[in-house]
Amino acid sequence: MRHDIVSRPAAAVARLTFDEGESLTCEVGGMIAMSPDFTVETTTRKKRGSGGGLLKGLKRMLAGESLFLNHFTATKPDQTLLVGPRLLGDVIHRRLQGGSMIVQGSSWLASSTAIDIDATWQGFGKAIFSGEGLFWLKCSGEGDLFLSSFGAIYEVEVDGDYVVDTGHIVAFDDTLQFAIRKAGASWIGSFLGGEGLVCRFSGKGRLLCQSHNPPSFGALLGPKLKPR
Amino acid sequence: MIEFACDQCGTTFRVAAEHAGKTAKCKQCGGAIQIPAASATAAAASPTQSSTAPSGTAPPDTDQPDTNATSAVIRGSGDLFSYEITQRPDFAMITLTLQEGGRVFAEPAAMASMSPAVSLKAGFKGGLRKTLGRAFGGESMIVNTFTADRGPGEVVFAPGPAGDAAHYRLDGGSLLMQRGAFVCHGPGVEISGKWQGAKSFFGGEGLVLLKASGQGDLFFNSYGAILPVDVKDEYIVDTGYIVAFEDTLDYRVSVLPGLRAGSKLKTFFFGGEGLVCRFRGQGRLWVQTRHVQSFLSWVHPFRPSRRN
Amino acid sequence: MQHVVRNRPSFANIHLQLQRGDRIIAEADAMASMSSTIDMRTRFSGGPVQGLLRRGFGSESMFVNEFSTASEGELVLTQPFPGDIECLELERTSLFLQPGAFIACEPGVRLGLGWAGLRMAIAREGLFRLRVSGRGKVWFGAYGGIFSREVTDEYIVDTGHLVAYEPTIDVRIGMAGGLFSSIFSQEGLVTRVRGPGRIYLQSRSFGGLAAWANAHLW
Repeated sequence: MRHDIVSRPAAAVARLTFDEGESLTCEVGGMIAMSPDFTVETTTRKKRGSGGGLLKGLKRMLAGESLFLNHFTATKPDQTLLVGPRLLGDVIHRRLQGGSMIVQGSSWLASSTAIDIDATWQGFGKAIFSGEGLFWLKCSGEGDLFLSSFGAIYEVEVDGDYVVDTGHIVAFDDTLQFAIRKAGASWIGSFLGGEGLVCRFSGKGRLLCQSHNPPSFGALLGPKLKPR
Repeated sequence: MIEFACDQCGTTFRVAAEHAGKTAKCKQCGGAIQIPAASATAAAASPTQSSTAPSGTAPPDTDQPDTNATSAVIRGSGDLFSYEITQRPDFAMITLTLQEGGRVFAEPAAMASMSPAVSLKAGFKGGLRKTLGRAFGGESMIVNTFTADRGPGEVVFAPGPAGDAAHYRLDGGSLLMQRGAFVCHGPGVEISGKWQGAKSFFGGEGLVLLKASGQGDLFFNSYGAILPVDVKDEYIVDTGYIVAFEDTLDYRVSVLPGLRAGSKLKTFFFGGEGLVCRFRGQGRLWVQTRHVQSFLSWVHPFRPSRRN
Repeated sequence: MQHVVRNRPSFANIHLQLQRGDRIIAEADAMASMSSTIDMRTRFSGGPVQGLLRRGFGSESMFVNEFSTASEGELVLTQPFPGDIECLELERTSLFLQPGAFIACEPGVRLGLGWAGLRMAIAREGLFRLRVSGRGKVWFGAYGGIFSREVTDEYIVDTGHLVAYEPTIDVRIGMAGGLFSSIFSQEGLVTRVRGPGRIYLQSRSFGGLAAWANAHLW
């Protein structure tokens, strides 16, 4: 599968070109445009014939709706698919080669059908308040992974220690260790200072961050809109 | 990456090599710069690209979005005005420099700034029938006329959503635009409303279009970036991603085959309607890369609640 | 200290490399990520009374964070909304910023609260404006791309599009056109600026975004 990411970093989309028989899984709603020769399967399961079994934990509720997936398979050569995320932001491609990445739930855009997606990963436990709507996916295997963000994506090669505000984490190699803590020296100071929770990464691995975070924007814009 | 400095103010920039030779506008002082050919300055790991101290290896350059990249400014001229589309592709604005006597017609509330030489008049353009057609198209009935009647002057237009803007020169043919895409037009252009629904009107957006015809200049905007597509045979797009298309294309709105109306799987696209538009023939189509419905569903929990 | 604003004008963010002795004052909530060698301290900005006033009328909170390091480290600063960030060097000069525009500055820059005038409040521009003055860099941001105009006589700015202006600029609220046109054009009230001086504008406005979204809501 060939890919080309255009309109970075704010209105990014992935233009994918499929050979006959190639397959991609993406969230229902991610498709913008397509050439006509695809079969599409809509399900909460893994693609038929690719190993079977419920994608672990994918009956998770996302904004009140179940997470439905589309499996696109090209039936002719040179079929193109245009895939994009919900919000303004960036898209990036990562090639997984056996390892795993922990991906922020709303940042997962699409992946090769061979990649395993596990939504039961609980590494952060209850440390990050689920009221934020954050959930995490463990993506493993071999294949292409497409991630999105709110903001521009920047990569950090962690070799030591690095601190990220939790709302700014897109994805990270699961070789990294992490700990959630308050930002400043004291609880009061950090809370009133505006920084809520931060994640301190240590060890060696790649970390993908986003320059902005949706709740800050939503909280600012929401009150200006018509009441619901 | 190419590194260069603005002749006028000395601010340095780094852009991707693909921009070599282009003319750009200095973000600091507004002066015009000619981007040189790729310099010998290697894309070495600069301190701004790596992470902690001690630093690891910088990530591959091709993977980074352009640092301080200049996006191509679109320039041109129309009847008694010249134009510039800047801040592309995400917060595009249209600056029109009008000669004395020049005039443009714009969507209400589109004006961001202007010289005092330009006067603003609100009005109902085109008579009642055309006015109703425009109302059906989602555009308001008012068209504002900006005239440089006290000398030459400028008007800057800024649409509501984040996204790009484009210019199109009409030469007898027509262009169809989604509601909300219209920004402004020059003299000689007529705008009318055109309804093309496949589902019931109460089902959602359907495909509500405006038609621009005549001889003159037209400016439209998008939510997200604009991707032009030259349709040769067939192309399928979710209706919410259509910005505009030439009327040489045949188009048909339908529910994507395989979806039963009423099934919960009709939320195939973020549009939630499962409505797609099938284009056939030859012509240009402009697709946007974001969908208003997904923005609205995301912002929904942040809206004030009626009970308060 | 090295600094660069990346991803202008869409999702501008500030990447700083601090050395021992460097200090940066930034809005609460501005930190996206940083090396663990960076220290962060919280303090009131401009004293408690000013802090409370800012909290009440501007988008800034009453606290700011001060960043420094004992060795060296990276700091990435951002703003709550998408848009552009501009960096200006003040040399015993000052600048007025609209509420919500201030992001960060060097320690030589003083932050003060100014009264913007009742008419500005009616035009929904805000009761207060932030005055930054002194010596050093100041970073401010906007929703949209930032562009500037050198005003010699007069210029008209739609409300919601003005980000910052030099103190030599005189700011008044007026109508966009005649009475009928001002109302029906939906342009309403505008800001009339008189020079000489430089003004900074943004290519989008929250009002415009809200109007676009509201048109699709019921």
